[in-house]
Amino acid sequence: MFLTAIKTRFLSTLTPTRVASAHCDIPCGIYDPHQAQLAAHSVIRMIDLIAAVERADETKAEHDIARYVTVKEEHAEIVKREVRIIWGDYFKAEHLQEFPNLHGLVFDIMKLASKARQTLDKAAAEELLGKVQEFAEIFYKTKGRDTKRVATVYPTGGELVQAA
Amino acid sequence: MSLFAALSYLTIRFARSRFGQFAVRGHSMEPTFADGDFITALEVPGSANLKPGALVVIRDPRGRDREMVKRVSEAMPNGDLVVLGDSPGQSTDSRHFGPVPRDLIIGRVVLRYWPLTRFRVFA
Repeated sequence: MFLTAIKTRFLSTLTPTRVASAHCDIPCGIYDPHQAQLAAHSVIRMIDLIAAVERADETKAEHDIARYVTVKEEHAEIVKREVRIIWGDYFKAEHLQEFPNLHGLVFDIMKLASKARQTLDKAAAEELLGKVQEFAEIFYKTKGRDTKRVATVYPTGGELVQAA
Repeated sequence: MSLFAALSYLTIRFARSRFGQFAVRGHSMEPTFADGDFITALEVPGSANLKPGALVVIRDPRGRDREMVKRVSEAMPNGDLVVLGDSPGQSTDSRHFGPVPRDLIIGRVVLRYWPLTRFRVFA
C-alpha cells in the first residue's frame, strides 16, 4: 500500500502539469479578406436569383428557391466566419489605435450578415458588401499595402478590393 | 527498495523547486521538440544569462497565462530577446509579436526526458 502510494507519487512527479506551447496560430499569418468579399457577392447574387424565379412551374420554383436560400444562408455565414477569423486572430491592439472604428465595423458586418440570412433585403446585402470591402481595405493597410477596387466579372457587377 | 523510492521522491521534490516539467504541445520546435515531448526547464525568471541558441520557456507576450517554448535568436541592445521556432513555417514567434522582454522568461530548457528514446541533456 505504502509502496504503491510512493510509486504513484513518484510517477506523478515526473508527469508535467504545465504545457509549453510550441504551436502556431495556424494558418501562420495566412489571412486574406478575399473569401469574405466573394461570399458577400454570392449573397447578393442569391437575392437576385430568388427574385427572378419563374412561378409557372410551382414545384420547380420551390426547388430552386430552396437551393438559393440554402446558399444564401451558407455564404452569409462564411462572411461572418472569415471576418471573425481576421478580426480575432490577426488584428492586434495597435491596429485598433490606428483604426478605431474596427470593432464597430465588425459588429455591423455581423448584424448585416444575419439580416442577409433572415431577409431578402438587397439594400442590406449591398451594405454588407460595402462594409466587408471597408474591412478588407483596413486589413491591407495594416499590411502596408495600398488597395484598389476592381470591377468584378460576376453577374452582380460591383467591385472587389485588392492589394494594389 | 522503498528507501530508494522515498529518496528519489524527496530528491525530485527538492529539484522541482527549481526545475519545471513541461509537456510540449505543437510543432513549432521540430525537430528539437516534438508534440508530446516532456521537457525540464531550469527556472530562472528574467535570466540575464541567455545566449543565442538557448532554448527557453517564456510567457506568451500576447497572453501571459500561456507558456511557450522557443529558441533565442538574438539579444537586443535593450536586453529584449528575439525568439524563434526551430520550424519557422509552423511557428508564431518574434516575427509576429516582436522581441520579448526579459521579465517574460520563465527559464531555460535543460532536459528532454520523455520519450526515453529521445532523452537528451541541453548544456
